[in-house]
Amino acid sequence: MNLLTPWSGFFLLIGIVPPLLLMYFLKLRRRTLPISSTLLWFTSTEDLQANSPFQRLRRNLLLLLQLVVLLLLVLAVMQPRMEGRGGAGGRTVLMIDRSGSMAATDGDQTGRSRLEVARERARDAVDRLHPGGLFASGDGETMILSFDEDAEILQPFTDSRVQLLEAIDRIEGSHGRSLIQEALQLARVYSINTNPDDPEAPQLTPADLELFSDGRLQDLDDQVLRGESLTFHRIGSDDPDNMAVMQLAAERPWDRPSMIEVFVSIGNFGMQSSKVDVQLSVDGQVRSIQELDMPTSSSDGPGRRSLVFSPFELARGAVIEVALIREDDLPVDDSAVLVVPPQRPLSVVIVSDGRQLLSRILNGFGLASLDVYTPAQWRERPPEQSWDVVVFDNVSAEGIPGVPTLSIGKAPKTDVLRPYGLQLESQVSLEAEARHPIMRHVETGSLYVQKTQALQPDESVEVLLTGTRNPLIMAWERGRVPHVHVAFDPVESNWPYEPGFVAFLYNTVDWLGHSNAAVVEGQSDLGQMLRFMVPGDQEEVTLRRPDGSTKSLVVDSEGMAGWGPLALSGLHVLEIDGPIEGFQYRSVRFPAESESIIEPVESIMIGQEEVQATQGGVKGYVPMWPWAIAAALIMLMFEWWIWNARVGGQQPRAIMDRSRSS
Amino acid sequence: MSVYGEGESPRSVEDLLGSALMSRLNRLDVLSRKVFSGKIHGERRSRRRGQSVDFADYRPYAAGDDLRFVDWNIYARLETLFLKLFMEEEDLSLAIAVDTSPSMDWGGPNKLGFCKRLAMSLGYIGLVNQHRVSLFGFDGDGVSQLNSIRGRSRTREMANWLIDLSPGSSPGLETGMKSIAQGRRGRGVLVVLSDFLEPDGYDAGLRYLAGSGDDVFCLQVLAPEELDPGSQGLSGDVRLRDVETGQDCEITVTPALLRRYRENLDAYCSQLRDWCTRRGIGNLSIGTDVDMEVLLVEYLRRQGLLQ
Repeated sequence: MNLLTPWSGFFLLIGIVPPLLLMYFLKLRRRTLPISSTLLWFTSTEDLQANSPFQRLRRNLLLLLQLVVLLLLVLAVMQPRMEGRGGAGGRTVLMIDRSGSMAATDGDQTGRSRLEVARERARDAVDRLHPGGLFASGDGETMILSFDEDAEILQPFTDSRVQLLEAIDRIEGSHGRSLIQEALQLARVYSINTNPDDPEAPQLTPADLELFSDGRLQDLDDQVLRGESLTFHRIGSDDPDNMAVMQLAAERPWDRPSMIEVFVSIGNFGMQSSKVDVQLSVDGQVRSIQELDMPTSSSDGPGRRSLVFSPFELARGAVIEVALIREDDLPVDDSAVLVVPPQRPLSVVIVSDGRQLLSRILNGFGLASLDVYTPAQWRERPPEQSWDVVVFDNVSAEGIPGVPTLSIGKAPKTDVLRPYGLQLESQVSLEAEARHPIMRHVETGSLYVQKTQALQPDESVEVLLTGTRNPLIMAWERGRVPHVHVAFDPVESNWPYEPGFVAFLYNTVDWLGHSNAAVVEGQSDLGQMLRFMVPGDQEEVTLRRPDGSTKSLVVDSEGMAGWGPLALSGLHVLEIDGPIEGFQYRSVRFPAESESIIEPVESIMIGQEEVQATQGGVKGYVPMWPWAIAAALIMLMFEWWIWNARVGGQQPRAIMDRSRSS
Repeated sequence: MSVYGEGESPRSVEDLLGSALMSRLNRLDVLSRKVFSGKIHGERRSRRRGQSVDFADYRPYAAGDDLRFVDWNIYARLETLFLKLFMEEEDLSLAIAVDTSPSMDWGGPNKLGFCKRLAMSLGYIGLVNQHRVSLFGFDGDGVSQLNSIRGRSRTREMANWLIDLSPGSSPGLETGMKSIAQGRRGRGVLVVLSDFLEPDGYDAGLRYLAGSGDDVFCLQVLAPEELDPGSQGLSGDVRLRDVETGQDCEITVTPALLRRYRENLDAYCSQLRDWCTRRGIGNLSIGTDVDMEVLLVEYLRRQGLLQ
């Protein structure tokens, strides 16, 4: 048994007992009445006092009883409590892990998820802490808090059992990582401060923290307990079976941009090696299934295998899904999706003095748009106008920041090339970087260049074609924006008559234009926000989440709809109805590196303190103060009975005896 | 106990005995359960044969007897001389002892005042019926007395004596009874008016009277505050101070305590009555709030003290 507020009772004790003793020993101020004879009064009172051989003891018995009553009341003020099934005193925070690993279905033998089991244990804890009834209900308060990467207070401190149970029922699982820092901070703020909004508010003693989790917390090393007592309720089976799609990526082969190649990394987090079928689906249609032999996990990490699906034709956009055809304890990481956009046609502008060679060639590339500007027009171009690629045809290049450029002939004004003013003449190609996308299918063996500007590129410049006297074709990036420069005017070479010239132009425009265009689009991480551009005048759109649930999103005045923070991994589909129907896809990655490790831990190290998993339920405390009050009342009744027995209720035997004896 | 305190004491004959009551008392007489020898011829039948009109008995004639009392009718029938004997009528000695201890000067109506009026009434009855009336006042300071008055004409003298009778400073039932018992000459009816609330007990004093040969009546006079203190306003935490001993008794008035007090009082009165009965002493407990005429005409007649 311990005392919740011992000092209150102590001060009450020293404040009340001495006055009681003083009052008891001081004589009561009475009014004096003359009476004919006190004979009968003496005998009447003596009858009550003299019927026991322990008169003095009986007189003191009243004081003793009063002291006992007082001590019981003081004890009640101290709020004694005993451990056991029943209400608790103090403040308790139930911290429920809702992260991705808690979605594992090894919560119990019936296949319930760990989160469901955690919710059930939390409900049991509430039952223990707040069982209801005066003689069993807790005088403490409890807070409900769930966390993954973020923490959420579902119910601030309250002693309402109904509210606490409702808060537990509101806990929704997520696929986020397990980070306890924010949860600890919130629990600390709310449990130590009486008013979290007021830093000057009085401080309370730290709360008891009850953690319901599998213990796979990512940030335990950075945490430390500050006086709180932490109880770890381990949830999950001892030897879970789990394989996960750890990585999923797609690329278009540089030489076959209309095709796509899918890369998959599979991890085995279980202790058994097994085979697994990996299924590739495109827009829901199964395209390929491959079998993998998965090694077991080790101390170095999960057993990993990588898989590359053969490239396949996919010029259009599509949703690519890779799934493991097997059942394990964590289904949510058995699949991953990618959204591949269609190839986008480019808009190109040529800045030229009027030469038409380049414009005629680029016209045949199927561009979205091709503009031809003179240098004067280029300088006076509308500021809102933008292109994917700017081609400077032997004019001084003054590009737009952030837009890739191809400069031919005259060197652009950049410090990475450093022209030194010499005109180099008569050189041929010496070495080409054939693996670079620009140089694919570009035959330069017969290239002859009449005049070349002498340049001294720095280390950041990649030379793609080296002439016999200086670099001829160079590529570099500035601010992740690629730029390509051809150090000679093709007109002063035999290149325009070579088939490689057209291939070079195509490759360069395509590479520059799609350099920042992701093969995969709309991929987000948990915790982020999704933003959709909604065409038309739609006011409301529907978002279908990976678990099948739908949410209505309101489209703002700028035609944007948003949703987040993201809690579930997988494919989010925005369904647009109305005149402009359509779908927009976003894939959300599952944090497999952390959350696919689902083997629950036996203990957690928080700071320097190791907290072992407990097998029992939440400690409940039976409040003893109602019993103390009840005992005080009983003692009071007993005292009344004693006093009443002293004052009245017995036969006047003493007088008769005395008279007879006389 | 707002009425607790000294009451009014009679200051005139009218206070002691109103004319209306006086006229009703003229028809009453003191009744003695015993027959006493009087000192002078009176209006009371004597054990001795005398010259009254009440026939008593016959006896054979003896020489020297007064021939006027021979029953000639019997002589005519039996030819034997029988002498008719008649009851002798003598006076009666009526003694009234009033307790003047401090405890009697208390209550509302005042116990001593009530006793004075009762003594006046009884004495008046005695005087009217030509009895020898003696009055005693006794307390711890001694015994005062008005000795052997007779005849209606002494009424005022008796009243004045009672008016002048003042309470003493200490109780003295035992010494008073002893003094009265030893000082009385001749026997008669002795009425003791007292509350009999003696710290040392009443039995020692009354024992002197029990053996005196008098026809003794003990009238226990109690104030309403003594009979039912609860209904008279006694409540709360009070210190009761005994007017005789100065002793304090601190009580907290509760229904249980009042109940216990009533039980003790009843037991005390009952025990006094038993004690007196066993010794041939008449006893009656009366409250000072009882109507004097009712007391005299009904209660005391029923008790055999008056007729």
